[in-house]
Amino acid sequence: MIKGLFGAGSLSSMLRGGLEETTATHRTIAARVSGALASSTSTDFASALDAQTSQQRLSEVDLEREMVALADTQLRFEADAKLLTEAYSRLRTAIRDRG
Amino acid sequence: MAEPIGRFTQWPRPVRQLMRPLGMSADGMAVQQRFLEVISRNLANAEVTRTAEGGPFKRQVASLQGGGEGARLEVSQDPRPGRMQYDPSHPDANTDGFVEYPNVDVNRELVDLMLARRVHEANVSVFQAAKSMLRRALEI
Repeated sequence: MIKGLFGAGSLSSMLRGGLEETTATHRTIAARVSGALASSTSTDFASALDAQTSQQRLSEVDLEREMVALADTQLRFEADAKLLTEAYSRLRTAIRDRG
Repeated sequence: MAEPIGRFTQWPRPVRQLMRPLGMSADGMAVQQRFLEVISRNLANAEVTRTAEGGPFKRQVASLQGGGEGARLEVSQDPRPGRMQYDPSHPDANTDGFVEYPNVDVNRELVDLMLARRVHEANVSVFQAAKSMLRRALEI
């Protein structure tokens, strides 16, 4: 019975999995954004290539896309956390209250 | 000259796991801060024709060497020659009357400044998100 409440297929377990997944996604976004710019300059090559180079520097990491993914991850985390709080609250009530 | 990035990896393991996104964003912000410093130094010295080492100021370039936990920030000099301008009355003019100015292009430095600022702001957003997620997790 306890396994049914907290085990692998239970609601709380699935929500915990969701939280871990969104945390991992957030970590990946953080790593990508922190390494978005590898040099303070875009003029390492001939001036004819400058414009192209400066585009390449940012196209490696699309900041807009990363920010969208960040907002999405944050919302998913919020939802998972809220649902998990509710699930634990229900369990707590079921354990404590005797009707 | 190279300085290590990623000091958060020295934290104890449980704290490190919990704070990893915060640490990564903090490192990203530190890197962009150093880029801004280098760019502002270039701009401040864009007209300096005589330095302690002799000759005009040489543009500096900061770059990340390696990746992940072993990343290091290296500041090097741009080897390209500076622009030559004819001005025989200048105290640093050569025998032909030309003065060598630093190899700093102000417009390009300002573009680089904007890029560094933009990436810095992105890192701040990720840091704020990590902070609010951590706070929310503690409320469960």
